[in-house]
Amino acid sequence: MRRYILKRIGLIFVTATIIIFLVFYFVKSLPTYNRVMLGVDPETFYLIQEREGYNRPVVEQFFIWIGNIIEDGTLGRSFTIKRDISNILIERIPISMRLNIFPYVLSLPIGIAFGIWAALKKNKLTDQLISIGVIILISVPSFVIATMLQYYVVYIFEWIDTPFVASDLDFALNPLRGVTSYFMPMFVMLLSGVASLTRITRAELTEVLTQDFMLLCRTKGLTKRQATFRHALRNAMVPIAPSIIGGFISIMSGSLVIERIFRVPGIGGVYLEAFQNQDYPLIMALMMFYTVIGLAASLIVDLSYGVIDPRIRVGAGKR
Amino acid sequence: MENIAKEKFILVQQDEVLYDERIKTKSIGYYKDAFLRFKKNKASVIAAIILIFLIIMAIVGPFLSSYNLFDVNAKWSARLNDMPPKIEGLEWLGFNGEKQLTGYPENFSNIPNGIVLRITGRNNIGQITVVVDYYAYINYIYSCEIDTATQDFTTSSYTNLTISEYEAVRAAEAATGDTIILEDAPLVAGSYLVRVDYYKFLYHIYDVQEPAFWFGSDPQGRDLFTELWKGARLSLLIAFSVALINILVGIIWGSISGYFGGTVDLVMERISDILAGLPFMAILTLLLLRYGNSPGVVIVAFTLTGWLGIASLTRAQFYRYKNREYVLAARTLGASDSRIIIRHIFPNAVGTLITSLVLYIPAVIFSESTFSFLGIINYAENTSVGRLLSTGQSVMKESFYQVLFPSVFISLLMLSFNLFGNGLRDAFNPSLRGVEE
Repeated sequence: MRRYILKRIGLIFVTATIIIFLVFYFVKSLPTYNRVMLGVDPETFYLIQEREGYNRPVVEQFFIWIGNIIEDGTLGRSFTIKRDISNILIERIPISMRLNIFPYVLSLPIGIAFGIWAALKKNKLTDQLISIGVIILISVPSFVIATMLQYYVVYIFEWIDTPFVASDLDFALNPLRGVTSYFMPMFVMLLSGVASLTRITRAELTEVLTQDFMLLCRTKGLTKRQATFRHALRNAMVPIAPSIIGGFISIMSGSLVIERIFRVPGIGGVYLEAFQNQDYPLIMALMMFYTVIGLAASLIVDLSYGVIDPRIRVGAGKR
Repeated sequence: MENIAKEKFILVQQDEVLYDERIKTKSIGYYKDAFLRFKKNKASVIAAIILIFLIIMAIVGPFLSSYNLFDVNAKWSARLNDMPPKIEGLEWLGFNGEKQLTGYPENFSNIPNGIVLRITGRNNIGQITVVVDYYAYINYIYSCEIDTATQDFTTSSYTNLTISEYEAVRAAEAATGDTIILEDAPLVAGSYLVRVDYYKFLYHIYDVQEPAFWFGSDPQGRDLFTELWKGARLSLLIAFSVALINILVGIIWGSISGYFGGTVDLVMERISDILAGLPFMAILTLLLLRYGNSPGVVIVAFTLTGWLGIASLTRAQFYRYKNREYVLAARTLGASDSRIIIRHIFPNAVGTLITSLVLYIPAVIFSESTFSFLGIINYAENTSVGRLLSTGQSVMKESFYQVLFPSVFISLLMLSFNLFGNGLRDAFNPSLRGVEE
């Protein structure tokens, strides 16, 4: 097992380096890269150039960039926010996490419960209602759901007085108002989390429930409930559990749509800002961040597959 | 029993040639079988019909309305901004051109009868909320609005005409006998500051019939109906071309990788692995920053890594079938590799691939509209459903219809694509039906 883990980590490391280098090379060779740099005041510009090794080959710049990350923990300096990017990330990531973690954790029991319910009542009314709900929630884009929610909750029914999440200052002044302003974004995220989890749980569980060993369980005297929860559910969770565990990593990355609609000052908002202002160092750092997050999530998924179901270890050699 | 005489027996068919009984029913092929199963799924059939309707509308929709004032003269069209939806005969459905306005009572006191329809409420600082016939209201504002305090015409009542426009108006007046200019003014600094009957002015000079926007108008005064179908057309065009390219590349890549296996497979798989690690958002942003915002670039961004899924699907299918006896038989008979791939293994994968194609298209539409909603995709020349939604969102409190119509459209499109795709999957692959119905 240790060999397997080390091999996976090694592989991820190589892939991450290649991808980050590709992105770095592409960003550096953008024709507009230096044009934006001119907007920065000359002194800072010179310092940045000095530190990041401009006018040297891109490969060398890449190593300087990596070196800076390892030595000083700095990801470069943002053009528009005019601060060190590491600080920006450290400031914004917790905001995204704070918003994401609650709906994510809450969606697990709800989604799995609905999935089990639908699978047990397969082809009955309950199942059909749940399936209709799931397909609607999966089809309708989250920005539509969020927009409709804002309109009806804030403007028509006036249950909540602001369509956006409260800033830290508002939060301190009126905690109740601050908390309620987080309801809508969390609700939207909860809906989509529940929908996808319900769908996959139902699919996996129905497949297990039709297998022969379930008949055996019933024959040896287990009730349907016992057979489902002790035997079927465990097997059904094999493909689901790894993605749930991997999802915890993705909590950090935040949702672009939700953060834009509800004006959450999280990491997604920074990305959109950076893109609109063509703030290349920031874009570069964020892309590295997203790549690392994505690869880390897939690593966790693979590893937990290896732990949960040793039959499917990726690249574990010949069987 | 033994006593029956031998001559009593007659041979049934002495001279006839024996034939197999003719098959009475028509033979049902793979696709016909799938179609029959598909037809039983009512939800999917309805979804397919809605889908066809939406696609047809996306093609013909932009031509249904001839209103193009924005392209002809953006200045005059901007006066017709945020107009509520109005369709003759559908007033009871809410397409009545009415809009709620809030202001102090004296703001509405000078308005002639018939424009303010009813007062719906008042707030605690003395303002009232009224429902107005917004089309008539706009004409009033730009033709003869009177300031409450001074009892004079307000500045917005005056229209600044260039010399050529003024002359065109005079010529139209002479030709039709209609009064367009309500209050004349001398030429000052190359333009005439006059009061015109705004709708008559638009009608005679720009050939705009009394405006009635079916889905309302956007903040620049464009017809939302036309814009929506234009955006829909672009979304569908991108989605279909992306799906087509990905399917082609994916099938070829997956077939080669799956059929030959060994070192070829290993190398191709490693390349796929690295490509799969590239976040889609990174690809999209970098390409857009480098090559500008155009539908072509977006298609490239979607296809750069989009084919990976199809490729691995095809590869798995090939691994499943390539060692079957019938493939061995074909090879023994001397069939070439390409013949085995195309004629013997590939047809097995067709059903799965069609299904994944149909379910792939809405996924492309979904991310395209999401990224254009976020403003990352922002075509210079074309509109898109995502952008309509994002502009609508900023004026949603006053003009909810601007979010409503694009929302309904995109939801309906996604829903019917998904239902249609699910139906297809069940039809092509009944064994999956138990898994996910």
